[in-house]
Amino acid sequence: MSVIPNPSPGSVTSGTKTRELPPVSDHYINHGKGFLSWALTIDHKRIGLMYTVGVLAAFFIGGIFAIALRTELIAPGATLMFWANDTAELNSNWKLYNQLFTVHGAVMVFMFIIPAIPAILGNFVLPIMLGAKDVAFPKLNLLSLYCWIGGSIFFLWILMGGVVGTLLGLDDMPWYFPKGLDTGWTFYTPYSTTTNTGVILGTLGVFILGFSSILTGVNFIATIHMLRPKGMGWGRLPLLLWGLYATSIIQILATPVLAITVLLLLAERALKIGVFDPTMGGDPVLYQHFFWFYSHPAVYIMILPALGVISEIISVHSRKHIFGYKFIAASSLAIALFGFIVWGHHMFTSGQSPLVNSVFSLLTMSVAIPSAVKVFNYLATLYGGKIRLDAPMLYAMGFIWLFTIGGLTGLPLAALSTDIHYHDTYFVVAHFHYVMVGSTLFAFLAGMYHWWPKMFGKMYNEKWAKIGAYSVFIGFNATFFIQFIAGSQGMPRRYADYDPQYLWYHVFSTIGSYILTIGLFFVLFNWIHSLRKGKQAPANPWGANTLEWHTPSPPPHANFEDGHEPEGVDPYDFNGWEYDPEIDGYVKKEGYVPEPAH
Amino acid sequence: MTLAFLTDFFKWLNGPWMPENAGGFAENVDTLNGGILFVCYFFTALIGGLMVWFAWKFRQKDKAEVGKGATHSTPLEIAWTLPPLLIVLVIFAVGFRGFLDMATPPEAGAAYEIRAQAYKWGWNFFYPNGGQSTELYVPSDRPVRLTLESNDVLHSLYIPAMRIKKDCVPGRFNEMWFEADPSVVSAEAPRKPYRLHCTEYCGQGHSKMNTYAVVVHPSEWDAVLEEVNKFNPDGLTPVEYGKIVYEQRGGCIACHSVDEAQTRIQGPAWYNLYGSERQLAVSDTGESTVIADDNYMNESIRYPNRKIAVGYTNAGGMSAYPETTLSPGDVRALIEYMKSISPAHYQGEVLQAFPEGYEGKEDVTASPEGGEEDASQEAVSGTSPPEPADAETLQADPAETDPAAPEPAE
Repeated sequence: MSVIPNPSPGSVTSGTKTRELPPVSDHYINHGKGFLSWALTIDHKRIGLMYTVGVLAAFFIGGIFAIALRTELIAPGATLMFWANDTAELNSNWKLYNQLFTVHGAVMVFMFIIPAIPAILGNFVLPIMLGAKDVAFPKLNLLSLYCWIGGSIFFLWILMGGVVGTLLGLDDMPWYFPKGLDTGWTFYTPYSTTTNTGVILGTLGVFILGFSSILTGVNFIATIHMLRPKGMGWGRLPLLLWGLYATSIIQILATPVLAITVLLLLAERALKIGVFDPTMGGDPVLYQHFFWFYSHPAVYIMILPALGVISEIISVHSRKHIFGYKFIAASSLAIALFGFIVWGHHMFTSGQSPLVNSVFSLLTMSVAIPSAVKVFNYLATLYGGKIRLDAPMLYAMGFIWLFTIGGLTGLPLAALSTDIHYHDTYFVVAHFHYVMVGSTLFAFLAGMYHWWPKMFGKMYNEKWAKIGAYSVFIGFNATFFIQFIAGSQGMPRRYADYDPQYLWYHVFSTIGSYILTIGLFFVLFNWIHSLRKGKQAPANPWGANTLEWHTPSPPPHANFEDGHEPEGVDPYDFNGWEYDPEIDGYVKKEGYVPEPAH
Repeated sequence: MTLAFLTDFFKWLNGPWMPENAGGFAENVDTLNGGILFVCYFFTALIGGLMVWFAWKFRQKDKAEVGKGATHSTPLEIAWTLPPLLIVLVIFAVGFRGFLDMATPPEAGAAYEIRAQAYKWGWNFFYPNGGQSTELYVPSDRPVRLTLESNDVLHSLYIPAMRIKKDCVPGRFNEMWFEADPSVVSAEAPRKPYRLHCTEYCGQGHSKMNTYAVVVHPSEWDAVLEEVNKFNPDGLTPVEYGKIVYEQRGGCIACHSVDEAQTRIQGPAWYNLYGSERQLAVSDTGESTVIADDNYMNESIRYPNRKIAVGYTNAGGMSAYPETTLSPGDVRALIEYMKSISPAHYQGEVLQAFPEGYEGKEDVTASPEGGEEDASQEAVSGTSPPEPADAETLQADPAETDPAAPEPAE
C-alpha cells in the first residue's frame, strides 16, 4: 500500500501498451525553474542531483590531498616543502603532511564514501525502483542534504585552516581561522585530547555529517517498508534496495555511538572529566572501542550499497537473471550484522586480553563467508549470460577484482599472528583502499554510468567511458597493489618520511596515483561531454526490468507518467523487453506474461 | 611429512613478501602468511580467471538475446560456502596458536627484562643494571621481555624483522617478548641492527620515531651493558634506586613493610606481594581478585582507592601519588624493587646472567600446549617456582593461581 498514492489509472487504454514512451517535455530537471525551485525542492531526484554535485566536489578535494600525499611520499625527505632546509621548516613539512592525510582521510570517508552511493544513487533510484513518487519523508530528505552541506562546509573550514596556516608558516592566527586537524580521521585519544588543533570543532563537523547519514537511513527504511507497490513483496525487492536497507540499519544504529563518543570527547576537554585521558584516570583504549564500534560498521556502510549496485549491474549487463537472489539479499543482512561484532580487530596490538583478541579474530573470519557468497553468485550470474562489456560492466568487473583482492587480504589481517606484523603498516593502507575506496569508487562509477541515462536523459560516449574505465583500473592497482608489498616489508603507515629502502615502492605507487587521476579526469570529461552533446537516451537503454526503467529518461516530476501505476515485477526477468535498433534501447514486448513467482 | 612439505612450500611462497628475518616470530608468522598467500593466489586466480573467461565466452553478440540458465541452486550455494568457511577456520586456528606464543612471555627469570618507554618522539630503553639507551640492545641467545609504557600519547613498538608489535599505552604497561635468532650475529660481527618503528600515529615527529633493535652476541653483551650504563652516574640499579624511593623519596616505608615476616604496619606488606593474587574488597572493575602485576602496582600508587584488598578497607586509606610526587621512573624502580623482594615470583639476580641450563629456544618458549614444555621450564627456572607473569594472560584468566605463592598477611 502506498502512503502517497500514484495517480489513478484513469481512462488509459491498456490493451495496446506503447512501444516507447514518448519523450516528455516536462521532466524533473525542467519542472520548475529558478534557484528556489532547487533549494526548496523536496523531489528526491533533485536532492540526489544536488548531492551528486556536492559529493563529487568533496571527492575532488579529497583527491587533491591524495595526490599531494603521494607527491610528498615520492621521495624520502621533504618534497612538498622542498625548500625546507632547517629544522623548523622540516617540522612544518611533517606538520603539513599530518594535516594533509587527516584532511584526505576525513573528507574521503565522511564526505565522499559514506554518502556517495546512498545519497546520490540511493536518493535518485530508490523511490523510483519502488514505483513511489518520493521517499517517505521528503522534507527530512531535504534536511539531510542541508545537514550534509552545512557539515561539509564547516568541516572543510576547520580542516583547510590548518593546511593554509601551515603552508604560510603562520602560528598566530585570528580566532576565526581554525588550526586544522592533525589526528588522522580516527581521532585517537590521548593524542586528540592533547593536540592544539581543532579537534572539538572537527568532531562537531563529523557529528553534523553523521546526522545527515542518520536522516537518510531513517528515510530509506521507512520508504522500503511503506511504499512498496502492489506485487512487490520482499522477495522482489531489487538487490540494490536490500543493500541500502542493510546500510540504513547500520546507519541508524551505529552513528549515534559516534555522537556519544564525540560528546564524551567534548566532556573530557571542556569539563575535565577523565574518560579517555589517562592523566585524568581515563582509558585511551576505551576510546578505540567506542570509535570502532561506530567506524567498523561504517566500513560496511561504505561497501554494502556498493555490493547492491554491483548486484544490479552484473545481472542487467549480463542480460541474465541474477543467480541466488535470496543468498545475495541475505548476505547483505549478514554483513550488516557481522559488522557490529568485529570491531575489536582494530585493537589486536593495543594490549587487550588475548581472549578478547581471539574472539574478535574468529568473529572477523565470519565476514569472509557472506562476501564469498556474493562473489560466487556474481560469477554464476555471468555464466551463460549475454555479457555486454560496456562501461558499467567494466567497472563492475573491476569491482569484483578489487573486492576479491581486498577481501582476501583481509585474511592475514583477521588472523591474529599475521596481523601483529601487518597492523598499522602499508599493508593495511592497501587493504582498506582496495575494499573501501577501490570497491566503493568502482561501484559508484559503475552505478553512475548505469543510471546516467536515467538521471540526465543523455547517453555518454561509450569509447571514452571504456578508456576511462581501463585507466582507472590500471591506475588504481598500480597505486595500491605495491603498497601490500611495502607494508609486508614493514613500512608503517602515516609516515611523512621513510627509510630509503622503501623508496621504489613509493615511487611506483605515486606514478600509479597519477594514472588514476588521469583516468578519473577522463570520466569527468566524459560526463561533461555527455551533458553537453550526449544523444537522447531511451527510456531503457540496458533492457533492465527494475521499475526506474519503466519510466522515461529523465523521469517526470512524479517519477511515472500520469496514469501509469507501477506494479512489482521480478526485477531480473529481462524476457519482457526487446531490442529496438532505432532508438538503441529496449521496449516492452507486447503481451508478455512473466512466469509466476516461484 | 606432508605438513613439513607444506610448511616449506608456504615459506617459499612467502619469500618475496616478508622482510629480513631476525628470529622473533618470523617462522611462525611467515609460514601462516605463506599459507594465506596461497589461498589468496588461488582464489584471485580462480575468480579473476573465471570472470575474464566468462566475459569473453559469453560476450554479447546480439543485443536482443537474453541469457538463460538456472537462477538459484542451493547445493551450489552450500558448495561455495563450506570450503571458505573451513579455510577461514583453519587460518583462524593457526593464527590463534601463533598469537598465543606471542602473548605468553617466558616466566620471570627466564627472559631478559628490559623496560621500554616511548615519548614524543623517541624511545628510551632501561636495562636491569640501571643503564639506559635510545637504541634497543637485545642479547642474541635468550628471550627478551619488554615492558612498554608511554609518557604521553599512544605509540607502538614494531620490529619488522621480528614480526612483533605492541602499543605503548599511557597509564598502562603492556608486555611483549621475542627471541632473536642467534645465528644473525657472531663473535666476529657481534652487533646487528634492525629497524624499529613507531607504528601508532603520535603527531608531528611520528615518522622520525625510528631507532634500531640491535641484536648482540653474548661475547659483546658486557660491553653493551657498560655502554648503556654511562648515563647512570650513580651506578644504581633500578632495584637499588627503588629501595631509595621506598625508604626516602616516596616514604612508602611508613606504611609498608618489606621483611620476610610480612609485618603489617598499615598497608599490605611488600614481601612476596608482587605477582601474587590479591582478594579484593573494593574493585572498580567488579573483579574479586587481581594479580599484583605492573599495572596493578601502578594503579595502586596513582589511584589507591580503585582497588582495595580484603582486610584493608578500614586501614585509613592510602593517599594518591600523582606524577608530581612520584615520577614514572620512580614507579618503574619501585616495581623492580618489589619484584626483587618477591622471591616466590622473581629472581632478581637472574637478570644479570643468562639462566642456568639455558639451551636454546625450545626450552623457554612458553607454549600454550603445556605438558612437557612446562616441565622443562621448571627445570630452567631452578629454585624459583614458576609464576605466570604475563599481565595480559592473567587478566584474561584470573582463575589461574600459583599454589606456591604464599598469601600475604592481610
